[in-house]
Amino acid sequence: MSSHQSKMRVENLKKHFTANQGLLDRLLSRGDREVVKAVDGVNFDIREGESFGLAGESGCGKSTLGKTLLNLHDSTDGSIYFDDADITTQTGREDIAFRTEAQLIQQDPFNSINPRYKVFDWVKEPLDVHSLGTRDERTDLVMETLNEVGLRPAEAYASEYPTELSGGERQRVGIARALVLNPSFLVADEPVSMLDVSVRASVLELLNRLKEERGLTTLFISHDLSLLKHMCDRIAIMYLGQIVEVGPARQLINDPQHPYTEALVSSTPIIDPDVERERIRLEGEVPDPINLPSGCRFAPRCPKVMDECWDEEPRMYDVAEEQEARCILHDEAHADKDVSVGGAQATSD
Amino acid sequence: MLNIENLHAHYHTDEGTDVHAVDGVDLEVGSNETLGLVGESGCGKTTLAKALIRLLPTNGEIVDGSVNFKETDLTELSDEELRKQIRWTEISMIPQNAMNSLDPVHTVGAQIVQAIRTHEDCSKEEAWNRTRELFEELGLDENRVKDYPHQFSGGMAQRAAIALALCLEPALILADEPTTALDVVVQDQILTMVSELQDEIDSSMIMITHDMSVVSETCDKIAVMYGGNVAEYADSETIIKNPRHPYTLGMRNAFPDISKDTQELISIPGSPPDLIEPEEGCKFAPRCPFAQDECREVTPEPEEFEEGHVVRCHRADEVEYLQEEASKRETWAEMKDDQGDLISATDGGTDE
Repeated sequence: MSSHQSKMRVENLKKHFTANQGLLDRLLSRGDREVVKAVDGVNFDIREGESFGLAGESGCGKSTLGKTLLNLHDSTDGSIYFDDADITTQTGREDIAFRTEAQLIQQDPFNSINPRYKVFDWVKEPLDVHSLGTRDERTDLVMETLNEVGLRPAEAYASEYPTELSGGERQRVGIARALVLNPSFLVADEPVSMLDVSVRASVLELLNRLKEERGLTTLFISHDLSLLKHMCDRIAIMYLGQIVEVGPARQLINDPQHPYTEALVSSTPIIDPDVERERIRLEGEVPDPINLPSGCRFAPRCPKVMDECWDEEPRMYDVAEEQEARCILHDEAHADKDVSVGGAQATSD
Repeated sequence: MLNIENLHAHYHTDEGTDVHAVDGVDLEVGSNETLGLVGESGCGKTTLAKALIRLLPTNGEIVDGSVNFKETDLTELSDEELRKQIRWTEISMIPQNAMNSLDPVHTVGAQIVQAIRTHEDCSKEEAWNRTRELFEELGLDENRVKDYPHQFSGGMAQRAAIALALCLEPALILADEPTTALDVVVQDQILTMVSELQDEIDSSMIMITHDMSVVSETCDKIAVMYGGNVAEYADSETIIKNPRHPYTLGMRNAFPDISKDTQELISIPGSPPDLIEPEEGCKFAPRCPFAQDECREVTPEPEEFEEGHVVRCHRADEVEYLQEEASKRETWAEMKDDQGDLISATDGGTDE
């Protein structure tokens, strides 16, 4: 892994929130404050120029992780190295520099744009905030960026209010606002989940093209594995605040090595009526991250659970080339057991 | 069992114009059959479902056509008759957002009991017992019948909404994006369970969704809607593997499939029509790479090709040419140029 240039490296990152207590409990200061461990010891490495996918069910902590990576949440513990500088310890000027380098594309194109701003002003605002360029330079840059994201002719779109635009166009405005500062790293949190299918593909194409042309490194957060398989070089699967499996996108989807990944893949519906998927039924839903089970966090829902799973939290095991999974089925002690959790998904092409 | 003929439903606007949300729909649903209604937002799929049980908002109106359900024309019934005889007992709806459709000030169980007792003559105790059974069948803990909706997770609330829709064993279930808000694991659990229950109580279902993979797996027949019309209607396998309408072909290109290793996603340029006082001509023509003069001037009528495969397209007989050309990126990219002001839908960037 060392042969690749790292763009963002995360070490033992934690983000805990304290749950709200009732007023009475607080006044009498009784009871311990409950802690939601939204991100709880995450390690990964996003390489320069790659598209890295982060998947998991709602409540697994993927959006919190995305926001923590952008320093929008203060981390509870751990380090985030961006271009080899630890951003969790940065202050003042350094932090401002990071904020132009890393940008967020939001999920909801309808509510994430201030309706009182014209497209031009909305895209220009980050330049004003960071006091970049002269007035004319800013105007030119905004127009160029609008063109680049496919809002052409830029002059016509610039004077529109967001309410006059379609969902796809609004999402492009959001992308333009993220790009105008010429970032090198993007976090795209479910960038197309609110768009119609026929428009979705065009926004994905745009993101792919920007990645090629600008050499952007992108973190895609989505629950849609079909989409991540299509868009990403590598995928990490998150469960209850931890990464349970990481690997090259196609390899991970076609041959998952963690029972949770396997279940996620097998739950994803397939269009092609000729491909029969092997169904793995998981019971229940993601449990509340306040009272975590001891041992493996997935054990209560795992179809392959064994007695040892409850003993201690499993570490990450190397399971294939560049692929790691957090499951003791891959421990040497279980070498005789059936570890071939993979092959849930038949492939056809 | 359900036969919709030439249904037109309009929304009146403040400007005095009409939005032709459902614009001449013909559809059939057989007993114990699941029909998938797919299309983008604004194509009229939800309006169609609401028009069937006449739950349109106050500015909406059925202006023409008939809805024949078990030999009764629902459009002829009075509101009173429809409410007493049809809604819930015969046709019920599973809403998209369960959390908002449950009453926050009553327990979930009480809402189901109320529904049962409003329509059927049964004792309180019997109704509660049935509610508990339903909870069990839907994978909910029966001890939670007396919980309020806010104590449920999204998945549980959706199950409760399904319990509410199925409690009177209706003959037809209208499921409006029943799992869109849920994660795949829960979606899979719920879809499997709904189809099992559907078999058990022997009802038909209309499943409204924009997700091609969901309809492909759960539905017997699929109707692809565009601009208030059914663009193409056939059994699921035909729609997925052998579609004739350029819109269906385009939708297939745009949808990522997890079972494919390499797939070029191609979008359909432009956006859906607004349906305000539509003009003559095919509604898909402005976005269709195969549109000819005829398409822009004459509205295509539904035409049956193979048995049960109905397509509304002037060029549907050129199926091989359409399928061949529609799979190419250039086809959809080139047409954008003569549209000028469209956002560049298909420039650059491939999967590989």
